Amino acid sequence: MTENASTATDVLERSDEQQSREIRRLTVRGLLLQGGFNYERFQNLGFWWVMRPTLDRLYPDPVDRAAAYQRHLVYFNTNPWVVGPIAGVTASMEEQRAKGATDLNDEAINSVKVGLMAPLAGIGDSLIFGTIRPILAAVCAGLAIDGNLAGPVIFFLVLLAIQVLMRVGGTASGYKTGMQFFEKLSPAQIDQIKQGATIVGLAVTGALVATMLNVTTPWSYTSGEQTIALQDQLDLVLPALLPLIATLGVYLLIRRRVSPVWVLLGTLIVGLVLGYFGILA
Amino acid sequence: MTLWQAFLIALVVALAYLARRILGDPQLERPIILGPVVGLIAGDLETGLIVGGTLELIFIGAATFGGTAPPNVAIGAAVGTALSISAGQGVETALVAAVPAAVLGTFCELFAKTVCSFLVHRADAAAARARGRTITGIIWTGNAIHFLAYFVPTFLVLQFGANALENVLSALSDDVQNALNTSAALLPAVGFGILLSVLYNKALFPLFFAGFAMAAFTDFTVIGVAVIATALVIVIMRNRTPQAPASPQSSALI
Repeated sequence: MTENASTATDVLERSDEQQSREIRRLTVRGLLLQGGFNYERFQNLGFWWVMRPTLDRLYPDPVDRAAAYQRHLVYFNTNPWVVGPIAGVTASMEEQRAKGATDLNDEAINSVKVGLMAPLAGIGDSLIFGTIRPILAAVCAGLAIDGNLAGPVIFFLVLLAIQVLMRVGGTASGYKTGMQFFEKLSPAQIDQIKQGATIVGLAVTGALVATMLNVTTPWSYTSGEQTIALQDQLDLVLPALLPLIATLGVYLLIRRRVSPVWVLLGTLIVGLVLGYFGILA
Repeated sequence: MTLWQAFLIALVVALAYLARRILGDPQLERPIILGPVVGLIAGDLETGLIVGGTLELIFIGAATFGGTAPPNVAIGAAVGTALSISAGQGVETALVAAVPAAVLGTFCELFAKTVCSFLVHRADAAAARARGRTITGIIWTGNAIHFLAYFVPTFLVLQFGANALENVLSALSDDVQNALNTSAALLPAVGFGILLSVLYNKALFPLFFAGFAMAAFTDFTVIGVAVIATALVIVIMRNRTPQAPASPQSSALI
């Protein structure tokens, strides 16, 4: 017993060099998180791929290894850019478990994974894909529409820089601080980041509607000698009223769980019909 | 559209989606990226840029949040750009081709992800016997299925759709051209509406109207609104964090 424990510790004492190699490997493997994506357990195959070298190293015995493989083939789904901290924390938990930490059973490891994947997905989805990317896309799309190649180039480079920083920093801090990563970034703080992103995102979406959506009406009516254009009247009340109505219409349909695909087709047809009869332009 | 151009464009689309699977989702499938690349292959970078930028606005809110299936932006963007260039028509044509193509692409994506669900059970069996190599093979089989699910339909549409579209377009009247323009103008509402539903938060929703009003009544650009909103957020968060980190009252306010 004592002898076994000491050999295990010898194997598992990790030098700084070994640790940074492990962090690098987890970071690079995190790129394949969505590999083999499926509708039953989403990114489970990808997460297994991220963990595989760690599991192979920690569990040379086939029985233990099979259990470890199965442990990481359960449902997993998060934002692909925030997998770093989760992989880091999970790897360090597996290390503790292999050293003999009996409280780290399957359930404990999985609950930490699940506990991290949902809030971090929230950050990734609302901050990156819900706020930063749309802002960047709107600005760069404006450039591209003017025929400026800088549009796509800036879009690509800025997103790449953000992703690299998130992956490299995230994996290292997750691995090094282990489960304390949780306490460093409390649920309340995670919630705050999400709310901050949502505030900016909503304001920017409002601005997008007002500036990027150019729907007007060519209707006019004659009163006495004067011809009055409806659009001029609308502009006096609220500029960009028609874009606002169109956006809120789409939004309500999506909220009522109409598929975005049908909404897209429907909008195409509504636009064709209203344009054909000269109601909108 | 030559056979080689169709082949190359289909390859680019499939690789962009493969990057989503194996290169950390670098957003290469976004229309703003694919538009110019496809334009380059089809021999008109300028149109590619314009169509890509326009489509990016339409699909601005389209993203896979928690496994939902949005319109497939990559196939839509590539087909729209390529066909509008080969038909020698404007941006509106691109949109009319892009939207149905994106819908078709969604079904291909659903198909690939469903097929991969069956593969998971093979992975379970392999895991029970600690066969790491088999699971790796299954992952790459899944990636290959995804690749083909984008490559094949894109290639077929480009190869056989271009002529049909050209014939339709050459017969267009002015009224129909107006209809196309209007539809093109209206479609970005879909992107913004989806974005809005993604960001939905009951307490914060009025800020959407604040951003709208700022841009509608003044000359504020999107960036200007973003800067003001960010500054506001920083001030609010700073004032709140040290004193009352998790007070339910304050979190209900923001």
